[in-house]
Amino acid sequence: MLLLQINTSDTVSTVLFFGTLGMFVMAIAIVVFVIFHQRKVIKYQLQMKRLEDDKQQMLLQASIRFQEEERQRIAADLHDDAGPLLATARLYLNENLIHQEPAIQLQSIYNAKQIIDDAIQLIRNISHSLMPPTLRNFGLESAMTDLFQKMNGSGNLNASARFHDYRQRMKLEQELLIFRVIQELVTNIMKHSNSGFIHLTQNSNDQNIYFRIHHDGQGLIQSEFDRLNNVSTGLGLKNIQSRIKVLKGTIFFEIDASQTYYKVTIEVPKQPAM
Amino acid sequence: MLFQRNNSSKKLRVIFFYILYCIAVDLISFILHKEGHKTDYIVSSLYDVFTIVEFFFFCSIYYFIISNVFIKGLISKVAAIFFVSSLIDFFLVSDKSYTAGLQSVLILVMCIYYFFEQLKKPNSFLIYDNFDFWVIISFLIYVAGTFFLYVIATNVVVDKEFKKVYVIINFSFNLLKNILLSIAMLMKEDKVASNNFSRNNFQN
Repeated sequence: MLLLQINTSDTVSTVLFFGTLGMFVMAIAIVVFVIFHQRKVIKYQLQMKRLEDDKQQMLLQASIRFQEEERQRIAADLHDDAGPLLATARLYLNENLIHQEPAIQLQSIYNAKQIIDDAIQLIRNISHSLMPPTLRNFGLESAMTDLFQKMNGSGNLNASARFHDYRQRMKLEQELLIFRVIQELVTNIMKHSNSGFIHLTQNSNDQNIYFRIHHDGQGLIQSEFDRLNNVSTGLGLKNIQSRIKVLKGTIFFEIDASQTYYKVTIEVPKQPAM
Repeated sequence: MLFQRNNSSKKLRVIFFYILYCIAVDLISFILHKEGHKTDYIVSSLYDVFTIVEFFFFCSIYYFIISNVFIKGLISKVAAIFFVSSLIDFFLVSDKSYTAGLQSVLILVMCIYYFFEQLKKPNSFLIYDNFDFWVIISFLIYVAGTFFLYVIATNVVVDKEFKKVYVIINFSFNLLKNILLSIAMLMKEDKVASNNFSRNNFQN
């Protein structure tokens, strides 16, 4: 208003007043827009980060819970099976054995030997469940073939594994993680899908190695996997997710175009063993 | 601060000398105004030179602020073209507001490009915690506010009434620019480092 009161040419005053005001408002509007837009972006980024942190936390908790369950299982196996076996063997070999007749002594020693053999077998089984010896000695291909043959042997399921391009072994830790992921997937399929067959195929290119499981039962698609992964219950899928993350790979659940088969594809970057 | 060699102190140094230059020009023009109409041509020439030098100060600051290498290269070329066109305007064209208008448009475009770059960057800290932001908005508001004034001011030193308007608007936006530049200079560089705190406590 002050500007208008000044006695200059009316047109120039009006242009100057509204022009200056307009430009000033425009400059302020730009600044305000940038500030609010940036605040919005940061808020969104924080929200995403929080969600990612929550997911990480959930995966970590699942991994810890899985470890604890595994430890409890081993502890239970040792305590409930190996403990009584060794205690029985000790009973057979107590101090009074030397006062017994030779025939009884021989029988006791024979019984103790049998029990110790059982204990050795039991401990071997526990050890194998922790790290399959076939995997360590002969690699992932043999371990998977072995697993699928055992499943096939049950007679209820047609299971097969085929490796197309696995000439060079990956690192043992990587092989073990892939083995565990496939083992978990196969266990889930057997438990929940009522499928008649499971087929595993392996392929690779220069950078990645691919594993695909087909089955004809009731399976999962990616959106269901993501949803189940984000709920607090259910350990198996979270373990799969966390192992895939350690492998820096991806996992994708889908249904065949004909809606007949479910497919799970795992993609892992190659890390050849030295 | 003025003798340090890192990038942020260079920016501060340019701003410091720019403010000194503004004060000097204002003082000289004030003294010359007191002399009356015989110094009108000198005052007019002083403002023309000021427009050119001010643009070079802005280009120097902008060069340190902007991160895009292509734009950095472009700034020197734009400055050179602006200098040539200003000389043509100064010596050959009677309409002196042409240089001021061109300067304003170029600065406005550069300021808007700065915001565009900031919006594109995945910054995790708030833009107004940044020293550069305050420098840019000080120039943006000053140039936007005085754009019409400089474009219209063909006879600033002749028309007494217009001179009053000129002084009021120019003084107001100059003051606002200096306040914003002061805020920029008060912004410590470690503020950026402490942004994580504000970011983590960001609400709403």
